[in-house]
Amino acid sequence: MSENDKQYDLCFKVLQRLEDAGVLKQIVLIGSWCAYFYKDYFEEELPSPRTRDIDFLVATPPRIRPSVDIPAMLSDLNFFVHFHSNGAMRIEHPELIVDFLVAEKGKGDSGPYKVKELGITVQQLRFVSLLLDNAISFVSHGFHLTLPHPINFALQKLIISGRRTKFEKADKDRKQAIDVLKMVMGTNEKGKIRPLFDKLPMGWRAAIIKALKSENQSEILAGC
Amino acid sequence: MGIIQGVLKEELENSLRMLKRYRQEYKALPKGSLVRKKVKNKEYDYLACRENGKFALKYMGQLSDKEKSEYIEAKKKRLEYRKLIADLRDQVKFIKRALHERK
Repeated sequence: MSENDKQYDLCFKVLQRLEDAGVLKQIVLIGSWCAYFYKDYFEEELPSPRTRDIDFLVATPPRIRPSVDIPAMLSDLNFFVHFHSNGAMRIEHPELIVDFLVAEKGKGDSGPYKVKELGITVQQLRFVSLLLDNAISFVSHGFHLTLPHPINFALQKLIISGRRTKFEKADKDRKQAIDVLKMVMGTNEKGKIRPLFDKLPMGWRAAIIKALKSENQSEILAGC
Repeated sequence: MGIIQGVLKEELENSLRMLKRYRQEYKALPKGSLVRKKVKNKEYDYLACRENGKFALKYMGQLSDKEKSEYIEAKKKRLEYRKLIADLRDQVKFIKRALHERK
């Protein structure tokens, strides 16, 4: 089994456990693994460098039923809990790091957030609320997944790219966002880009335009 | 190249942190394997392990099923952790080489 196969195998085991516990359809899969699962939505593969982090977004207030203890559920797969300096948890394995996040409600409210229903304390992040709007659900590899709509996913990546301190991460975000937007432009959902963009707050729109300009891709918005 | 380098640096940090953690967990597991010996038609449990590099058999008396399963489980975990530690060491070696951190 290659390194990549091992990672997919473990990822599917984690998804299976979340699905069996009835949790999977109540949380949103976000982050770089989205690009992998979007291939079933677009019916075309997206090129994307991916880290071993698999991120899930939990809507607040969490109304997850039934409650499960995620760290205990994954411990026999040799996952360990790692605590961030602020107390937020991530569940780690050499092949995969499972991270849960919630959307930050406002400035000054960025401390860890306890999700009792999942037995975890998670990090709050800004701008991820955009990923919960228009989330799409579909079946991929037999799992009932909920993912951000590709347009929301791409626009959020463009917004956060301007706030990254590491240049490489910002570059990765912009390139991934542009790949997804170009993929959307080849579908009948092309017309949804501009209306969604227009609905965003002015600061967010400015961040998106700036990110697109830095990649010489301003025509993406003009062409919608 | 910048993107790949950034991803690799992040992965290296993660691998080093996890390597440390798995080594700690491995060390914390009880050592040795249970061996059952028959003496004068009675069965006794011994713990086979290494002490100061030498093979040693420690008499454990008659262990309860729960105690026995703890040792069996620990042995299974040790094997799994050894494999994961080896994988992590390979990852670190590979990433360091890719980042030209290792000659």
